[in-house]
Amino acid sequence: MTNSVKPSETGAQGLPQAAAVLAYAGALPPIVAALMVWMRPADLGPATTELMLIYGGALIAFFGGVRWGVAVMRAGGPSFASLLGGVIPLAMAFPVFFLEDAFTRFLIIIVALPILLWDDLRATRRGSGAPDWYLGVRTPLTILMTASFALAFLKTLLS
Amino acid sequence: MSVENPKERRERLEMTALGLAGLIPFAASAFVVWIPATLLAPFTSAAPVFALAYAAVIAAYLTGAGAGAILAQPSGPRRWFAPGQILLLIVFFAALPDGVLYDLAHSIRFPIVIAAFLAILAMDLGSAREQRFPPWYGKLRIALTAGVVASLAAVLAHPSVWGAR
Repeated sequence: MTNSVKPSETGAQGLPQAAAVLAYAGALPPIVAALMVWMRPADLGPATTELMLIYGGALIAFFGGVRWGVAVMRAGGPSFASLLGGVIPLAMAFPVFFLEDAFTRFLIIIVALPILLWDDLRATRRGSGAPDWYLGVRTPLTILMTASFALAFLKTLLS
Repeated sequence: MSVENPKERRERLEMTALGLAGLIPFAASAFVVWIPATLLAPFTSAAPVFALAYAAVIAAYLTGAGAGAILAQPSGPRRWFAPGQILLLIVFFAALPDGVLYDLAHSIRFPIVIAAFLAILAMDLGSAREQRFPPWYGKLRIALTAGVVASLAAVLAHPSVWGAR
């Protein structure tokens, strides 16, 4: 086995590639779950909906953590607003985990994911957020995931 | 040895307060399970499920923070997102309520979650050593993770939880 490593797989360049692959893999569960909710509503629907909602809550908490991690390590230290911006998603994730009402839980996820993306894009434009490539990966994925949650939500409303 | 400036001190104290606040639900779960107060009785059976769900939220947040710290310094030592994501998935599946994908006894769920929290701590201590987190972060995380592990172990140790689903 050789030690040769492609230049694109090393250092700061390899990071976006690996992160992008992980991000796309992380977006698969809600997409597949939304399809299941529509294709097998009677037998797989309820469990898949629950799985999807918990996954959505975890996503919101994760994105909150990312914001906190970026804020705390920014040059000059974190501002109160940036730390608050990291904690608010955590507070939004709690009801998704602990409420029983699927309607409210879906709504929180469908509203929170685009808002977090929009605010992260603003922060990046200001120079105080995550790198461009990260949001370049997250933008299409947020659209896909939000659409998946919206599809499953629609099915829940119709049934 | 570096001297902490007032801004860093304030930051550390604020984060410590926030971290301790985050520990309250874990400690409350253990308290509710162990204190035989009539007032708390309705919550006793829900406390282990609550503790697991809360652990999943916190694990998601912590692994997100680790990813954010990597994003903030892309030119630093190479460190991947994957280990954190895998640990998060482990906690996620261990905390899934019965009936969603499978049924699991608490005696299986809790040790998995505890081990995952210790692994996330180890990972973050590695990042802290590489200065991907502020200097105070490592010590704070050790103390808070000790609190999380003690609380989860206390919940699991109760006879009504051990062996129950």
